[in-house]
Amino acid sequence: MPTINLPGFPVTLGDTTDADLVMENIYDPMADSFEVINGNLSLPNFNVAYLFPREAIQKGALTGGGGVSGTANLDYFHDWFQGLPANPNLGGDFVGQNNSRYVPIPGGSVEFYLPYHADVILTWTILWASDSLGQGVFIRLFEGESGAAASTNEQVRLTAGCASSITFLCNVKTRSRYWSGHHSIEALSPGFHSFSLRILMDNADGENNVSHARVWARSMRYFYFMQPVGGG
Amino acid sequence: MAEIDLTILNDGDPGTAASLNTPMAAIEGGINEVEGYALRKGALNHEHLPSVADILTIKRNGLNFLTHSYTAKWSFGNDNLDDGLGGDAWWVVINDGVNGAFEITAPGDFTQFELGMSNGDQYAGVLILLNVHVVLTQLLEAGDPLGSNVAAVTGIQVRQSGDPTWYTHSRATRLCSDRYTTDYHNTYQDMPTRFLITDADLGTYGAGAGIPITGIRAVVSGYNPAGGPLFPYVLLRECRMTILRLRAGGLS
Repeated sequence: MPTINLPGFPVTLGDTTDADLVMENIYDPMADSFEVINGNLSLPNFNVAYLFPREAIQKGALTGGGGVSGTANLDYFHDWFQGLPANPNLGGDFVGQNNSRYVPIPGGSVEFYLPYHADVILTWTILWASDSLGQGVFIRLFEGESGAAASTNEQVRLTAGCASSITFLCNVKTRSRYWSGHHSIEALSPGFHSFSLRILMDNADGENNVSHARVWARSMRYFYFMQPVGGG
Repeated sequence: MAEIDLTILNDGDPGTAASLNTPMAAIEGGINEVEGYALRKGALNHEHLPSVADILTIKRNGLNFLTHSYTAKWSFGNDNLDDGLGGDAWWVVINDGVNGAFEITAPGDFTQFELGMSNGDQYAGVLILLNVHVVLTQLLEAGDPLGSNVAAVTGIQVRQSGDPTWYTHSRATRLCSDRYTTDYHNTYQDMPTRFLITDADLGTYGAGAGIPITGIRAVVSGYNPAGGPLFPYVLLRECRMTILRLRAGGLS
């Protein structure tokens, strides 16, 4: 509610008073009136020379946050990813053909309720390794519920084998990576939101290439900062 | 709410314009000048308040596996020097050539602002989150990349009003070594940076405290521990930078 300016005031000598106008000045939720004292006062109504106390701000009115984490070893195997619609190494992956084949990772997935429009920051820490001799193990951030989740094109990382990877071992030294990532969204709408890190193993060559991946999902956190969009 | 005193009209008092205007104006003025002490605990919710933080920009590079390469040579001890672009570059701004540089400048991208509690901008600090996907690092000899144990380096630079220099805030400089000396094609690491700039940091690393910020950018380079004249070559893919401004005190 901005600074109120009562319509019809002041009256001048000789005017005929209008009872309806006086009444609307006292109470009219759709126009400037004294009705604002019923919980609709906002910053323009405050004396800027006076700092109001922090206790006056309702808990959670400006910011919020939370998160999940896990400590388990999470194992994934090649036969979960047979018959991929697209080869993730040849560009088909990022246009969404494989989206439905990504598997959400416990400890790297979060759902939260946003009470208002807000700028949202997600941060996560995840480590994974595989026994790959060349094919990739992808981890990608998805936004949305399971069936309608959309992948984020730049929020993807992979591990793969290399020429010096000559044995089928989950080799943390040469075939692993940490990813302490972040994602940011401006003016996200109020309501429930889901974000999840998901895994995909490139199974083009079956178990002859990558048969086993191990994931350590250490945290997925979210922070939000209220933005006065569509209200406030 | 400012104290509101109303004069009670008694039966038989003449009704005048003033008898109506005075109490209405008193109430109107009182509502428009609410004092902090008039607020109850928890009286203000998100419907009444402005934001305490806002995202200044989000930069994305290297979408859809797009790689982008950089040739620059970083060494210890040059953190507060300018980038030297155009010459022997210490740093190169992250830019995949498609999605734009990781750089914002005033007045084109934002209105310059000052950090600290004692000015009208009322920003306590700037939080920068940067993630860089390093695909590989190598050395360049006669234009040909060679396998070598070369580190990728990322940094944050800030420019301030009245000074064209991009100052490197060395607390945000990160190094990431190549893990393989025998197979240089598989660096594949992620370099995260979480960096908060305060007005005091501008005094230590920048043009000076109390001088408005006019630019922020993320830069990349390479570091060869063995030294020598060869330039490192750094190949990046997915990158993301978010700049968040945090308000200090006045919510006005």
